[in-house]
Amino acid sequence: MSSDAAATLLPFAGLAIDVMVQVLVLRAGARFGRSLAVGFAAGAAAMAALLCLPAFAGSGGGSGRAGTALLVYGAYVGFGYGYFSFLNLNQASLRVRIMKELLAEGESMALDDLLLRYNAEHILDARLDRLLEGRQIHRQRGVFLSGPRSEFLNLARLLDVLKLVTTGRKTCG
Amino acid sequence: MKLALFAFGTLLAAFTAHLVLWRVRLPRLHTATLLVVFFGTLAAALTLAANSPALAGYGPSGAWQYLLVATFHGSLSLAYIAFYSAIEEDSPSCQIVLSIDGAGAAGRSRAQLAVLLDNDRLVLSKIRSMLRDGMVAEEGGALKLTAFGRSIARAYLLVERVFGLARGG
Repeated sequence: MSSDAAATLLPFAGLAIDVMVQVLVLRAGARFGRSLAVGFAAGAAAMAALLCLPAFAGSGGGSGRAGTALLVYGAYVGFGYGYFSFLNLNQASLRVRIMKELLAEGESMALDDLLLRYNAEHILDARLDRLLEGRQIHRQRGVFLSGPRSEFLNLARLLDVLKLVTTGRKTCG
Repeated sequence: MKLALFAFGTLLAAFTAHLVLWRVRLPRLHTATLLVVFFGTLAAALTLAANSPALAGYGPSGAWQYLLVATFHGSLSLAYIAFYSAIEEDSPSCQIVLSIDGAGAAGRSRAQLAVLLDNDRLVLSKIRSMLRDGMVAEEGGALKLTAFGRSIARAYLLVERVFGLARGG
């Protein structure tokens, strides 16, 4: 196999390692977010080790090697995010939950019954529980406050900026 | 490094085209348009690289390098398109944290947060989009899974079992 071929296949190998490690770590009892991070890191580390080998360096000498590594890692980041999105939809997507609910109820359900199970109150409670569990918010004196962790807030701010850049409007918050 | 420059340049060109188009006129079908813009740019760039002497030395040479550039561009484009849905929709969790942050030391009560999230925006808008996208159909006041929706539901149930994922909300 040529080094260009090996370099092209490397992101797929990295993804395979990412998925395997993530599943193992999740099944060992780790939290979902931690299993994703560990899986992603494992795939990245495996690729770094392989990229040191001449067989995976791609053609084009020293700067070509660096360029190949950029492309390989860029593709891997894309795969990693796609994998995270796919799994996260299973947990966070209301559309997916509704479809699974319909499947469980013989593929059909009265709209009123559906709205009894999936309504803004239930969603608010579920989201607050998840944010509290992830320590992105905390409760004090009967109100919710930011922190101690701020990753989700930073993501929300980034999304707000991107929304403004692409669509010209901000999140209603 | 020249190949990496070519690949990054192609991705940047696609993203720029997307921004310009969105500012001129927001398309009706966002996902389909993004796919056309990003993969159309890739196709154009690769065709240009194959036929233009000016890009000789920058573009890919050999089938595997074409595939590497396509893999790079494809994976990041699809990641952005998936991410775009988070940009486009007002995520309930994002609305919650931004509202709480905006309140500062006073914080937000549950009642105040409940005002932000109403049934029409949270639930009915999703049902309308599922009807539009052919995942469900409405029959006499009931929602019924279509064949397409059934496949999606089964795929996600399988993922839930294989990965041992807890149900979210």
